[in-house]
Amino acid sequence: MVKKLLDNGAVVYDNWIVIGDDKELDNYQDIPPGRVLVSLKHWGEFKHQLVDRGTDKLGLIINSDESPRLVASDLHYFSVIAINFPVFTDGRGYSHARELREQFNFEGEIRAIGDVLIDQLFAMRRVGINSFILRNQDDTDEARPYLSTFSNPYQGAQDDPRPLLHR
Amino acid sequence: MYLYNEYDKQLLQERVAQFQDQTTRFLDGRLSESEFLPLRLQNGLYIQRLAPMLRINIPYGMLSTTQLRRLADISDRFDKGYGHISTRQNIQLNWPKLEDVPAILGELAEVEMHAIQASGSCIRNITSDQFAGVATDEIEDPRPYCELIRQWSTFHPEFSFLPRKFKIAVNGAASDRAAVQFHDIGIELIKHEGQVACRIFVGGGLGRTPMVGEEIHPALPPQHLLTYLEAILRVYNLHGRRDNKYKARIKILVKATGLESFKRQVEHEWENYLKDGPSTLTDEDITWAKSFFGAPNYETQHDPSVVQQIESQRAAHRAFDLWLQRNVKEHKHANYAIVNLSLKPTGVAPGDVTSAQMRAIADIADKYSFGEVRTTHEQNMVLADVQRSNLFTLWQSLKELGLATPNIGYITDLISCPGGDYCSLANAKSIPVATAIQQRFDDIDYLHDIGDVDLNISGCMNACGHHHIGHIGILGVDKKGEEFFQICLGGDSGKDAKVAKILGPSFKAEEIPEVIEQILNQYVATRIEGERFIETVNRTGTDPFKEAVYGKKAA
Repeated sequence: MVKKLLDNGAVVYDNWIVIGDDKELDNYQDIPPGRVLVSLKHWGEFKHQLVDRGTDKLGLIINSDESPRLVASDLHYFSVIAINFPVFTDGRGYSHARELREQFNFEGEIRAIGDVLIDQLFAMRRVGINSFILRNQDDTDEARPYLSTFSNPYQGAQDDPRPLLHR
Repeated sequence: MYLYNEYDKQLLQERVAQFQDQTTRFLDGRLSESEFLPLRLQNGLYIQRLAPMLRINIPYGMLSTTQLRRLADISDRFDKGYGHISTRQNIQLNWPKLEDVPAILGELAEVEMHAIQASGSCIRNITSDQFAGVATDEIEDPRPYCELIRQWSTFHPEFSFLPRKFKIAVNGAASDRAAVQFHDIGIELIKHEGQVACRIFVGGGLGRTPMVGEEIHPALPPQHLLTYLEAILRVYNLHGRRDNKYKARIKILVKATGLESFKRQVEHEWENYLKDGPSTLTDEDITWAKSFFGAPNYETQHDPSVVQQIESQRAAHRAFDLWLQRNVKEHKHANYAIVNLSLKPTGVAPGDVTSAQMRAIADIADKYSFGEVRTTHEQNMVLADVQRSNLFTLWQSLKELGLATPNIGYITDLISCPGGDYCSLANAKSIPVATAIQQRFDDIDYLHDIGDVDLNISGCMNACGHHHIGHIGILGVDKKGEEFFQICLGGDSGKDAKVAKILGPSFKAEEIPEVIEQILNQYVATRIEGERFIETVNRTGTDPFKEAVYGKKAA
């Protein structure tokens, strides 16, 4: 089972099934029952069947080269948006998280998946990501302090929009 | 100067702890080389040809004497007793041990210094005019704005991993001494309808594809500065190329998108989501930032005998007179002068300063310049507030330290990257070429006759020596494993920003001083009375120079 770290520092086992772009789907029946995270491509293809599962069983994966704007009007179908970091140095996901929270008012879970390392957790938490699947699963139990590396960052972000000057 | 409060101090302590942990995990093998690489770069730490290099930030070039003394101690304890002033006003140590770096950062943090974002694909140290606050042509002191941008950009979570490095410069005077049009974002402080405003350039830069920045906003009110920067950075973060590091800078995005379309994207982001938001600066914020950069306690009593005294000292000491003409600049306060310390004596790598010099400069600055020192992007240092009555005594002290070479702005005050002697990227060794040029042109009367010439040397096309914006630029190239040097002409880093043009085929290192002399001879032969070198190049074009160097056929 995959371990998931929450932004309050708790570790839970994750029970979402990932159906990424790499998964070939011939028809809707290829998607297992239960909670699924589907890629934008699969969402486009099977949207009408997928919505029947209900929001709490439906999540969307956004890759770094895909904009949340593409699905802005569909966001209410999902309880989770997973931002995929293909490599940890690809920083587009940070802007995507802020767009989701600040421009599209997405209030569900935003999770980081892919090349997620403990040294990036603090910044990820600040842009509005609130759960993390670490690539090195062994790090998960020790990852908690990395969510709060700095006590009083200078600039406003999604966690606290006020810059230090105005706090 | 900006003084750290408890929050700034805490942030630095947390940073030291963070990097200590990252280094430990790397040395234990828990963090791979490729995972550690961007982390150490974002902390200014390169692995060079011979040893690691640590780049330490000097925010907009401002140093206290306490900081300078600490840099001297660090370079003695952890390095080889010298530092190198970079073309972005920072200081670099060429020989630290990786395992010592966390300790060095701890030492730096005690004096409110750090290496945060000194390298890597993030927002780098903010650079500015080395004469900020004292220049006679100043419109608005850029330092308060630099400090506000420094804070905003430090560990900005959204811009943790940009497509590529990102450089911001701010200038607030009639002359551009910060080369703002050659930065990813350049900010020129202007007066607009009686109010201070920010004229914003975007997409300038040097490197492999030199470009002059384009104006994206003619007069942005300062309260919107940070939200507007955030909008530009977001568009860049989302759309800058990540597939090819040589095409990843914002200049390529702006060119490919077109300025108008890029601007529309930025304004869309800004108008809809960021403008007037919580990061909007209030008048109190700006006043607060300005409070750190007020004028020191100047002696305002004017003593008319000082002028006469200086005149007689000049008459008696020609070297003092030459130094006064070249290295001393007018200060906005009549009793004071700006003194440039040349780090370009012949035979020393441009920008290198020893620990003994650092300590002596600190003592001198305490005595004569309110305990502050500045670094310049021309790789020199500045004492910004020297009382005119002290100039002669100060000159005598500087002379003894080898810091009074009267060559500021002359061809021997050249800018050079560390080159192949240190850097693993370089194609060629730039420092020996710099030295050869300094040796060739060591006659002070000749230099005086030639006047202002910006000469810049880069050891490879990454252009750390900014060769594209030198009046004369020299670029090290590799031809089948052999070092050659290409000459370009006509670059300008000021308000008439221009990229230099390549003159012709490249030369061997030993030919360079002769070629430079041919170029200067051509200038002497065709200049009109009072015309500066760059003005002659602009008037005649480069063809006559090409002919002077390569013969008639080439031109």
